[in-house]
Amino acid sequence: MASSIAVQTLQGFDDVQFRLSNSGKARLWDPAIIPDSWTKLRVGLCAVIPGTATLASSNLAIGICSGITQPYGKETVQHFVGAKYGPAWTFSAGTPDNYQAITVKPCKKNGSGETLGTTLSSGLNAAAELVRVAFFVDITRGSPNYTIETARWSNLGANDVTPASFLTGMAVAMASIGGWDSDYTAVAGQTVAVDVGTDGQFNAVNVFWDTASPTLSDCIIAVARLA
Amino acid sequence: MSKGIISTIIDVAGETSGYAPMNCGHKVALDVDQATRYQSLNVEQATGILRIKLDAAPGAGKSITLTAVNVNRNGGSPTDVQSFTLSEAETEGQFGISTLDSETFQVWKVTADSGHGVSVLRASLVTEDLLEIPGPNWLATSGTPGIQNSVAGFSDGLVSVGDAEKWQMSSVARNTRVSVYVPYGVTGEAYFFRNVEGVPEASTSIQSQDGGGSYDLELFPGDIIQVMFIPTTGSSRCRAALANFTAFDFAEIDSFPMLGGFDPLVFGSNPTQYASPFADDESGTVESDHQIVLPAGATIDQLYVRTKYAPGTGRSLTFTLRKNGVDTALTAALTGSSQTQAQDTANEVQAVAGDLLSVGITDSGGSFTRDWIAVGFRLVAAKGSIAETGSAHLQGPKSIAQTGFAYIAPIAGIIAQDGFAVLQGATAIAETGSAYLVQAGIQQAGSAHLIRDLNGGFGWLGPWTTYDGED
Repeated sequence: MASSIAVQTLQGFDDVQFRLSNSGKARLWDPAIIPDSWTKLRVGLCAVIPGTATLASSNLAIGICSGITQPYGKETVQHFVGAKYGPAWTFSAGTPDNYQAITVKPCKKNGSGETLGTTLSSGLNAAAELVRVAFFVDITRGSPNYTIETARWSNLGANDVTPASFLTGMAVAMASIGGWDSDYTAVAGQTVAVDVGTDGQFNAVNVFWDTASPTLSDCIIAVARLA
Repeated sequence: MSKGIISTIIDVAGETSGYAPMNCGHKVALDVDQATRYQSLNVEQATGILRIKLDAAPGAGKSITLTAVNVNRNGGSPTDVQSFTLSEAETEGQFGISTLDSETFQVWKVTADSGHGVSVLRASLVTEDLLEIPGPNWLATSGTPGIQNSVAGFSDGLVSVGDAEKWQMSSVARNTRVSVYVPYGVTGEAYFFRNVEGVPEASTSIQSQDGGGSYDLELFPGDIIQVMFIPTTGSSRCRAALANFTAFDFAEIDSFPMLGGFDPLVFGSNPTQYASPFADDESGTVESDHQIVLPAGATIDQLYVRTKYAPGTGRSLTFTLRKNGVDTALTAALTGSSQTQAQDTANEVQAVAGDLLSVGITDSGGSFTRDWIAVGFRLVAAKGSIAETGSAHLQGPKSIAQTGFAYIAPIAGIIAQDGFAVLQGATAIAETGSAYLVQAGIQQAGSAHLIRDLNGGFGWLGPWTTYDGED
């Protein structure tokens, strides 16, 4: 099943939410809004994985790419950098039912060649019930190494992350993310080498979920230019 | 940066002795035997042209000299920095004013030859973008156009119903537009002139009543603006806060400082007093006698007060800016035996055209020595319904309120934020931190640059691309 869009009313306005099923989303940002002088971007995803069993080969990529014709998930990728969650997601029953992505790594992909950095963390990452969980991926520009930091859901809880709360969290520095929501913990960053001169300037947001079922549901994507 | 015109009238006709305080709008007297007086000149961060004009030339063999004197707040001898002399038949002149550092303020020293006689000296500081001629500046004159028998300069002149005409002449203006607001306490008819060589060239009737009226008149360098008012009904003697002139370069929003001052009544027996925040002869216990009307919407902040004498041990003197008879958050208090200056730089007040402003003074009791009191604050112009207090570029219609440096470029609805921001979006953006926001419906309190996709959203070059996985 391809991506679908759900529209629901949140906070008095229609909110567009995505559902990804072996599919992805990419969108060019306006350089007037995010000029190429950015030094730190945060790509955020708020989503739920409504599954019931452990996943052995499911990957979630959250990051930025160059152009939108060949984002992550295409056979040939035009310069993606971000974080890659998976491939193993351990299902656990609880309150709520939840998934733990065993491995989260910095990821750079250009063409068909993928480079994965040192593992960032393992732990709780997603809820398996209709409790939305936030994924925050900070991308700090470097030369050549870009630093990828993440925040992860560290305490099982039944608190749904609302769009408003998610957007508030988007603005909170990683070091203070626990102050935004005590269920979340910042994970120390790792690096991956990037060459925008050769592989292409980043100008788009990109999220990809390579699994048809369960879907990655109720997705809200946000981008924050932190510096 | 403050840009604007601070118009000050020095009335050399009213008094024969005594020194004037160093605050704007107080009477300064020159007479045959007392030739030197001082008057404050607000040149805070301003660079411009000081224009002066006498209603009567000094006369044969006589002259009047205006000297700018720098005074260091930390002490030391005042320093004459420049001067300008009007001799014999001369009535007008100008000289440049430069920005002062924060430790220095400037006063005028006005020197006239013995026998100069009665005259009125008007002066104004002109900078590029803003003109502000504040406060109750009617002169209780009558008869033919011109200034005659002026009583108070910026002080509370009175207009009596039945008098034929009341005239007020401002100084010069340049490249700006002027609004006149005539809202207070009396019904009558105002005429607004642009004068060329002293001859009214254009006039506009403004029906004056409590609700006020306004008119925009384009001015040009060297113009003199003049307002005539003919009261018809109202109280028999109306307070002089009848007209304010405010001119903005409507293409730009900026701020300007306002200075005023007054003599208080005897404290102790008058523990609560009111004064005009612009300028006043003397404070009083009836607030409505001292309210002035704000001619344009503005944010008011940076309240400073200064007295000649400290309240004294165990005593205090509290100044509060009041709007429409109600205390605002802007307040400053002097306490003890040595404090003569206080300020409130933390709070601000939003005000709209027609609001009545006054300063409330509360004495804690005791025998505070009565002498002059100076009040200063800053008006930050509002453009449309946008109210802001920082250096900013604002583009957009209504209901934007913010207090920090910002670039706001929307849209309709309500945008309110307190920090550094670039805002582009539709309605209902509210945030309190440093932010770069692009989207509707964003509420956040931290430092961020946010783009959010909602219904197409802002900050994107196109729609979402949706694709299926291929590998």
